[in-house]
Amino acid sequence: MGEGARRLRLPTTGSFTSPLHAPRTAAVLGLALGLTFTVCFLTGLLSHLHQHPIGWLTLPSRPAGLYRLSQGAHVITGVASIPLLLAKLWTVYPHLWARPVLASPAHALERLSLAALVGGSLFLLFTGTINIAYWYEPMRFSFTAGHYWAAWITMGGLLVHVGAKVTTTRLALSKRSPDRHGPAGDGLSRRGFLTAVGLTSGVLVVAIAGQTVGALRRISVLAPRRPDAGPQGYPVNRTAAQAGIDAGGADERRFLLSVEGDVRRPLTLDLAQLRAMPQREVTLPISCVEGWSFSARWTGVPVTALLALAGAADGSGATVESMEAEGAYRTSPLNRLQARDPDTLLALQLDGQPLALDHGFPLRLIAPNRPGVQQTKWVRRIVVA
Amino acid sequence: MSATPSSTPVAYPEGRSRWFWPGLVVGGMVMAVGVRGLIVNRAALMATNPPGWLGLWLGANLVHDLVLVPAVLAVGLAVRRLVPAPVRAVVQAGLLCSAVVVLYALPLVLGLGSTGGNDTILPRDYGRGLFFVLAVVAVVTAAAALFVSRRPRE
Repeated sequence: MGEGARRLRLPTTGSFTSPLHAPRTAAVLGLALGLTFTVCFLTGLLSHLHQHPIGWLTLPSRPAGLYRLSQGAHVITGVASIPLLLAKLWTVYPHLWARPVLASPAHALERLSLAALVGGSLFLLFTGTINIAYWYEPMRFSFTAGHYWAAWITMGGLLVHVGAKVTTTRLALSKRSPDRHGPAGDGLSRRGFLTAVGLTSGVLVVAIAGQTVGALRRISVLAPRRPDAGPQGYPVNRTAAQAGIDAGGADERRFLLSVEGDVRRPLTLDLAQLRAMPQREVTLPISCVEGWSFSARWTGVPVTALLALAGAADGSGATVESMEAEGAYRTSPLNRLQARDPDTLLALQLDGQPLALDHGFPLRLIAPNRPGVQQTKWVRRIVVA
Repeated sequence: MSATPSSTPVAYPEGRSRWFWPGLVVGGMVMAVGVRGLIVNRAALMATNPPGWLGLWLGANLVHDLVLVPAVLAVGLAVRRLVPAPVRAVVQAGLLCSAVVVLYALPLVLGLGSTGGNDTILPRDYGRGLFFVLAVVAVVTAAAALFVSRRPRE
């Protein structure tokens, strides 16, 4: 009876007896997470800037594969962080039950910032993971906005935490660490625990990286995407049916592309005229924000040629518009560097064949260093600005 | 003090790091950017489900702190009682890896994602994929346990 009553009591920091709940374990995991979260934050920031351009910062159109690398790294690093975060939080879990709960105003501020850091870290990895798994029900809000702003709060919490712990961490990782030769438990040693956590990150990376690293595509059995399956052998983010485009709407006999806006000679071109223009062939990736990508050979008309034909001023940017009736990605902006890149095409062909309807038939945008959602499909208008 | 060998353990410092307040100021400003973003974009964040964003934040944390970690601790206690000492560490490592992989794979395996009629989304048999990964982890764990249990004790 007495035993039962004691067990119902809330734990305190001292209730947890594993020697793994030690600063040195927390320090190693903390360093690893500091690294992975920084990678995720910077790559996420880059992706955000692509999708929400700011006036004074013109993103370059080169290197062509940068967005593919950066967003692939974002998702892979995020997934690799799952074991690191769970292990870290398990290691420091006893501190959740520290008494007194709030010892001083400074302690209260530190715990509040920890709530931001821990809360934000769990929120980010959870929403990121379910987003790449296409499980949207728990997120009845804009994933991109929620994930992005939570990242700022989390990184702020991380900076506070680094300030609070830098002295302890340096000591914990040094030869003078008081728990360097901690009491051996009867289970995993610290080295064993950290190795197991690292291996788990490795298992997850191999299990998903094949959605962007082609060589791993066969063994990445838990990847939400395959880079080698779909119409013409490639996956699509949105099918024509999902976008509300049918074969009638994309009828090539009635198709007309218009180039308008800030131009001297507004153009209206049909498919025969587009096919008669000098064609350019480029090998460029489609790199989705969800971290999957594939590279393919595209053939079509350079946007620079169309802008020149229409008499657009040098240094013009443009907005590319789809036939889609609605949707956040119905249009996409080309800044002046992207618009003038010779490899920015309105593609008519994929690997030498006319585009499949799901890949944007009759005409789609393909440009270097750009999120897949901005490689607008079913293009029907370019508005120069 | 300078005569102390560099590997002599010293105690963790008491009190607050001198970097605490600078960190709080800089980190606080970065956090403020995030909070401002949430407020400015509150329409997108609360459009269809007013408590959605905050609810998921709090919910994920409550589930982690009050369900997930206690469950891990309970399994840890059971392993300590049931698994003999020589192979215990190996079993703990195998369970750790398997549990995290399951946690990641659950939405895929349960088919919670919505493909919207797009066949290129979630194209694999994720139940089979998870089984494959867990089988690899189990085989490696068993091999390591066998190796450890045959090693002569010192």
